[in-house]
Amino acid sequence: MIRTVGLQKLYRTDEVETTALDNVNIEVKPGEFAAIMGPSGCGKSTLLNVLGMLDNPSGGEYHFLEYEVAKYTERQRANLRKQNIGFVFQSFNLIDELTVYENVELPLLYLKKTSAERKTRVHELLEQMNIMPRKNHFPQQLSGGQQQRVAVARAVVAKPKLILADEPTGNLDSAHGDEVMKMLTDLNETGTTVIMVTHSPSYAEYANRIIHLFDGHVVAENISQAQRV
Amino acid sequence: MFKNYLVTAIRNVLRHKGYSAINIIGLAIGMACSLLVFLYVWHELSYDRYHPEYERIYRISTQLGPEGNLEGLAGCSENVAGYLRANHPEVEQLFRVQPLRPSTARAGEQAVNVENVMYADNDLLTMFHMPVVQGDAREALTRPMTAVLTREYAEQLFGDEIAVGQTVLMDTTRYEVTAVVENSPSNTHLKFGIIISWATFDLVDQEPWRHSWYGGYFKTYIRLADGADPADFEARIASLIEEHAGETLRQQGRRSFLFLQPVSDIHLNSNVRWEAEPPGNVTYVWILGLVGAMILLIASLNFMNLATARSAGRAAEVGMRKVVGAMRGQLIWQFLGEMIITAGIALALGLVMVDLALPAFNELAGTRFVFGDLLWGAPLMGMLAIVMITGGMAGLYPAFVLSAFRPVKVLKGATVSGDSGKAFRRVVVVTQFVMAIVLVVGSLTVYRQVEYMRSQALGLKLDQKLVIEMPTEAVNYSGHEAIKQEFESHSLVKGATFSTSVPGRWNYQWRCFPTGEEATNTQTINWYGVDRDFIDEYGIELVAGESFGPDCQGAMCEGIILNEAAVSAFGWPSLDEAPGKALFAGNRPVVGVARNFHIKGLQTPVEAMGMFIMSDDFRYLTLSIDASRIDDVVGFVKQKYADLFPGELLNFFFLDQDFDRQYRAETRLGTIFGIFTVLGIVVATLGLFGLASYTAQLRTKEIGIRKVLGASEGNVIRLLTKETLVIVAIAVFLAWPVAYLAGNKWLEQFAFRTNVGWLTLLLAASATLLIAVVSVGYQAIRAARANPVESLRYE
Repeated sequence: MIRTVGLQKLYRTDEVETTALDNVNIEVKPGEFAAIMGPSGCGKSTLLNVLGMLDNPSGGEYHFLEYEVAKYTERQRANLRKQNIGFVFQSFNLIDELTVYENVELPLLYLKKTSAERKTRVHELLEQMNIMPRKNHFPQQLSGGQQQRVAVARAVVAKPKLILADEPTGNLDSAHGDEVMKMLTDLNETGTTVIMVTHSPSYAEYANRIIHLFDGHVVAENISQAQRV
Repeated sequence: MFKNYLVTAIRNVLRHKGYSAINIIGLAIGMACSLLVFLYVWHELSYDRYHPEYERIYRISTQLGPEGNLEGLAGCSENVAGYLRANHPEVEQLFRVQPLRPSTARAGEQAVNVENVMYADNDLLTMFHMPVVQGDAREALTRPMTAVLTREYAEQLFGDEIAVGQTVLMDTTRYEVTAVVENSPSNTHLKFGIIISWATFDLVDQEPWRHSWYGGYFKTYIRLADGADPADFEARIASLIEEHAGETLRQQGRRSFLFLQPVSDIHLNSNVRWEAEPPGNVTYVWILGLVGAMILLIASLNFMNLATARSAGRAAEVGMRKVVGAMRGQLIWQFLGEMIITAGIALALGLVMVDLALPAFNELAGTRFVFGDLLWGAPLMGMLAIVMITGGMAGLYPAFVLSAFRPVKVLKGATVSGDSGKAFRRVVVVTQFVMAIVLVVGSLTVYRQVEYMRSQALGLKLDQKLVIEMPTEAVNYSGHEAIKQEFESHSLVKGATFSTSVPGRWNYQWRCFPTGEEATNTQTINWYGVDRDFIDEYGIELVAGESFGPDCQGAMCEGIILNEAAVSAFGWPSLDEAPGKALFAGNRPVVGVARNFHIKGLQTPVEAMGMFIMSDDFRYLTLSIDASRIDDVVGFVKQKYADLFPGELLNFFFLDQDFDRQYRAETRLGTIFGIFTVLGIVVATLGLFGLASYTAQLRTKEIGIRKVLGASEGNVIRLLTKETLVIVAIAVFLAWPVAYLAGNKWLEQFAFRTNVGWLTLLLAASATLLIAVVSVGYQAIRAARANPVESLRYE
């Protein structure tokens, strides 16, 4: 699914050059559930953004499926991203002017699905996420847990091959956090690859594999405790 | 996808009701103003363009006068018409028009005063667009003693009955009604009330002067054949008068040429004497057009400014849309579409405003617009263009700038700074307030000029004068003194005098030169026929010679009194030399000279005029009255008139009010200008208010921190208002020279004028600054008083 070779990301200003990622070599197979951990500022989110093609690496190679995307243009990345990758964020990032239904529907609109297709798929997911009674509500009218369920629904509505989750439980209490993790696990069991950034060791255990970052380097990779058992 | 954009646009509007209201209402006001102005400008520019094939219709007018001093006259001698019909086949059709004085028309028990009574040839009915309501236009005006009525007079005289075939009595003459036509629209320079056949004119007036090649100026209209070159035709007829009356003209030291005036040009671009109605003023049309455009520009800039400022808060949405698959092009269309939809909402509201304002606007502008006048080609296209341009411009920033943002920037929590686009906003605010200040100065200048003209001494007394229009030929020389005494019998009537005209009304104009001098010294003189009491009743001052003596009566009194302007026009070196001179081949000795007085508005210099003792045409009776008991005076006048002229309709007016019509165009301009200026200020202020509110909101955290660190309310208020005051001050200094030059340029057209003084400039600047301070200050005070704990907690 994913393979990086010598991946590098630099941030330059007039005076300072910061290395966010340095010589990152990772591989994630289809159907895997990988967690990325590390202290604040170690480059976890940067790595996720590069993997999600929201940002271009400064150097190295990035192979996604059969494509080498490191040198792709914005347009090429956007096209590849919308067909294959779903995102879940810590702060949900729902669009306030759209209802629950419309937020979940949005990726399908950009994929130019027909009205009937969109309706069927969105309803299916809203039922699955147990959020159907709220389909005409706006994000401001939902709790944090409900918003994140909507965000997950939006992330998977286009049946992406890969889900990238950046601290999906960061703004939730433990009960809702567990709920979100169960959703991600269920998705993974259906064959969707999941890569999750987290600070929480307990949530990292939901993954098959944990990749440890420090100062932009991969310093360790290990199988999760749950997997070892 | 479109539904998604539409839903997002509408919900954005509803979510921020305050800003949306400011934005939409401001733009709606601008659109409404510009639509009303468009209607007015279109109306003025559309005069006489509704006639079939108007491009081929021309009026033949005459230039006459000494070499190098020709003046234009709206018409030509009657011989011209006959000659053209006989010798110029390219003249497809031709009609002549001769206006008559207002008359009373009667049918049975009904009587009505009619303005715009005219003799005309039958071709008028087919050359001009005059839809026939009853009868047949092809021959309605071919026979003598026939008349065509317009609908309003037909209905007033005959109600629902068929008017054709019936008889109408005008003064003492009976006419057969042969057709009824629709009322003249407002956008024609030639308005008809009742049209009498030219054959009647031929029958009742066979004076030799009518068949002179250089006298008698009848309005003559032709339609040239399709393909005929008007320039070539004009060149071939230009010297027609000189060819047939050249010797006479040379003896008089005059030249005369014919020229063509396109019928659609007459209202705004004709500068000749003897027009049927006062022409329009093309300068005023363009001024109002400019005012409308400026208000629309202020409103549009507002709309763009506020939309641009607020769009910075949509960065997160842009980022997420990109994450879930939006391409840049789709985002561009989304934002452009949203702004165009919002501008469309403003247009809908603007149209409602127009519909509500139309009756008052019609009253003000003297027009008769209905809402449907906007629902056709040009205005519809214009409205759509405004929506597209304004919405498109407002959407440009979010469409092209925001859509270019990389999603990762906003997902990291970075937001677009509210400072983004600040320079653009400053420029916009300066531009708006420059225009607003120019409008204020312009409005004050027009107001001051009108007040100046009204306040100037006219050289004669107009106040406390009630003027009665006498029935045609009802008063003769032998009976006029008795009539005066009848009216003077009431204690509230202090004096009475007859005249052929009064200030502000039509008067005779004759051309003459001093006896014994060269004909090259011919001048056009305005003439009043008066009785012996006129000079005293009107308080006219004599500066040389004497007034009409007590023995001066009727045909026995040939003396004339000229004014100073006439003496100057004839080139006599001093006023004292005038008495003893004579005009009209010695038949009219000059007995005195009057100090100049104004018979027309102060737009024009005092013209040469003369007075003579009248023996007929006792048209106006002026009563000097005690105006403190107006109702009693009017009641007396009505009763006395009914006693003296039974069955005649009474027409009277107060002279000072009537003379004020001279300033109608300027007063109208000033009122419309003033209203639009206020609206322009309102719109600019709304925009400033919205921006100030938004800026205060953006700086909530900063203000909270400053207060925690010790800033006072005053410090915060100064922080938030300083920039705006500087911007408005810059606008003042930019606007002043523009306003000063434009104002003085407009004033140049007035013979008697005020100026754009420093007080006007200061007043405009102060008012604008005050309004800006209040609108921004309100937001600043609110922000300054906010609890910093709440501000920081919110952040």
